[in-house]
Amino acid sequence: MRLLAIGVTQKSGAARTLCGAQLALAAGELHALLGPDGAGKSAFVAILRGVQRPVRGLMLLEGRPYAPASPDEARRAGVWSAGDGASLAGALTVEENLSLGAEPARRGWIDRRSRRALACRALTELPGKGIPPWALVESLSLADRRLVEIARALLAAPKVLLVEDPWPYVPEVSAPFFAALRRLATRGTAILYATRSVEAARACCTRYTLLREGGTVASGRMHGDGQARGKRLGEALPATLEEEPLPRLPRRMGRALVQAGAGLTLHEGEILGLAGLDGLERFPVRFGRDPDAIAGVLPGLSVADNLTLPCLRRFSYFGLLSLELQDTAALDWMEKLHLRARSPHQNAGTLSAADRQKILLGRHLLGQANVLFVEAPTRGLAGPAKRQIHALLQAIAAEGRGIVLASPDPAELLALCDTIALLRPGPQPGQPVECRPAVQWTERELAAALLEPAPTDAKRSAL
Amino acid sequence: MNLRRLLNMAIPWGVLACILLAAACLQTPEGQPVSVYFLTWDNARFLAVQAIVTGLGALGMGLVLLSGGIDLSAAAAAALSGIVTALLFQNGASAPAALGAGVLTGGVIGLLNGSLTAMLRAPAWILTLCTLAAVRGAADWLGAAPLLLPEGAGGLAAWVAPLPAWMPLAPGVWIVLLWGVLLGWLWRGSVFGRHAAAIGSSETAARLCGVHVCRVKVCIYTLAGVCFGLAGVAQAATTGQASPANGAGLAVEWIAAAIIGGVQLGGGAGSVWGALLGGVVIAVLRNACQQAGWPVPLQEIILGGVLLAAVALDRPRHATQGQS
Repeated sequence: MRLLAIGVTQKSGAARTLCGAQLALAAGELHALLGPDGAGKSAFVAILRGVQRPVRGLMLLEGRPYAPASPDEARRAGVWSAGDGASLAGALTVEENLSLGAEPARRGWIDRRSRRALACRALTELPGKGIPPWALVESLSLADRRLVEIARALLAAPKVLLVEDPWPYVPEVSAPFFAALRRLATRGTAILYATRSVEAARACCTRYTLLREGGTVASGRMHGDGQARGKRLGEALPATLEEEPLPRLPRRMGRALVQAGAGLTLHEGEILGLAGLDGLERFPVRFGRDPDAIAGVLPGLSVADNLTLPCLRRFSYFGLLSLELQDTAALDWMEKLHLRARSPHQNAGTLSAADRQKILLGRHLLGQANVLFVEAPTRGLAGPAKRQIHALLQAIAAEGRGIVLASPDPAELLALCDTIALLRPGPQPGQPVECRPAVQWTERELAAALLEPAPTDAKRSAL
Repeated sequence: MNLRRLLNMAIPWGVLACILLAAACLQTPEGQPVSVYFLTWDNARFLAVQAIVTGLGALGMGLVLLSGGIDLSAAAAAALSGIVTALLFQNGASAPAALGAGVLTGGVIGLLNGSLTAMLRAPAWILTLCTLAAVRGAADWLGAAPLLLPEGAGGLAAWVAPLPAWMPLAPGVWIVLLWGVLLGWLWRGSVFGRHAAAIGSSETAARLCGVHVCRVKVCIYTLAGVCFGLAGVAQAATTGQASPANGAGLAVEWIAAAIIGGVQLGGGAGSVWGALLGGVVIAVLRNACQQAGWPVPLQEIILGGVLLAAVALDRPRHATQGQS
């Protein structure tokens, strides 16, 4: 076994994210780590790549104990990670990224010719259309960036590659990525592919491990005799792991609130979805007036201060705060938001990610803003926390306020939005390519646009 | 988390205890334990007077640091305030006019700092460095000749002298305590204070919550300027003279005081009262060094070390707060 993990347990606050998860990864195999949202896939991968340390559990890399304290340490041990292009430096070119950290150099001077040769060797091994080695990484589509990460792994052939794929499965887009992974597997690298799509796992992997609620419930071969082994562990591999979508609250769309520059209109009680790569920052949609945006939580300030900051004057007489009024309101909202905080005086910086997100939304439920910008509200959240946030967003819209929701998750957009506009980078950033009612979009369409956004990519054609 | 909070509050007291312990062990040049002079009622009263300037400066610096800024021109502003007061006294102005003008000088410099940071949106350290140069130039100009405060100076000296014996603390000390309570209360219990804390924690977030960032910043710097003005006047009163050299080394002292008192570097966490307590700690440190007969340059080196230690402790102290 290349990598063995037994009884891995992890806690986040009081809740257990992993509870005795196990995994056996052989050299040269493509192994799917399957599980629905909130099953603990990301937590497991985070432990394997050294971002978090487990509370309990044994991990062995080639028979030797493996307990990385940091991603650097994991990388030095030969455990790499890839999947969303986050390990690439966007401002550098593809070839610079490919040789980053191991530049061919003579007396401190980079040998450009061998660097180019190195990059070309890796890139030609990738399937599909060639990625130019001189292209800037930030000008590439997400699908291409994922390929560059695999190309880098091809050069070094690490012992283990951890791939997280949070995106929905689109066969045409994923095919070259899977082909590259398969090629890497033939070099002897053990690849762990974490996904929630059984279809994707069937398309590329030979074995699987199924996680549910933090524990391994099944593992086995994808085809053939593996089904029997899976059953012995208690559960056969289901056809799909998708959850039931949240029931929609009835909403009534009122008058138009704001006219956006790019032909978008936001109505009262409407949730307008923006599908695109990085949300609002990269696609500056110009609205007619300054809308109240959801800003970050203020660490160092108390939960009560964080909740009531935009409307402090409501809790004060002549500029002097009434701590009593403030606390009462905060306690009331802590209950409504299911906030896990000890008291309204707890430092908001010490809360979990889900609770901080709830504070942000609660702040605006309390306030009087009638237009909200929300960007990736459930990034890094899963399971019940995600559903609570979704319910909160629906509640805000049901009050007759308008929400602009930018999210990288097509499923989230489809579950919540009334209208979805697809934004694409290009000559005029922020121009919605298409704007349709949500019912007329499919998840695949949105996911494909997300991964392969640019048929006419201005930056790349200029190069 | 509660343990961390406890630790946070314990640090200034811990430093204080260390200084007292060191004073008990050290010996004066005459070969007696420092504590013979150090731990006496008379010295405590004298120390309280010494702490006036440090305390006022720490209050002002604490306010600025808590709201995410820094004021490097503080010490120069204090020196200029003292010079203005002394000049007016020499020219026969009445005590209220001279004192008022001194404090006002500090306030105006603060107003300038605040307006600059609000308008130019450049980092505070570079903007206040510019004002530092200008203010120091003005102080050098006005204070070229030695400026001695006239005898008594309208009763000013009595305010900061540990006299008469029946009064436990000098009137000036009471004023500082009162001012500290007022500022601390403003910080914790007013809309303005909470808005300033929000700016210290995250300026962007505060802006998006509808806080008038510019207005609040101008007010904070002005308020801090008033503190520095008061500190300058108090220093002129204690030393009986005013010169551009009065401000030397004070900025470091005040920043160290605020950080020892639990103000987070970069703002957000901490309290105004903590900063005042930090000021007292620094004053005790100075006093202990003097009692031990250590020269002023050595004191400066020790102060630098203390500031370094406080900065090194800043991260573990506030570690849980910046995780977003």
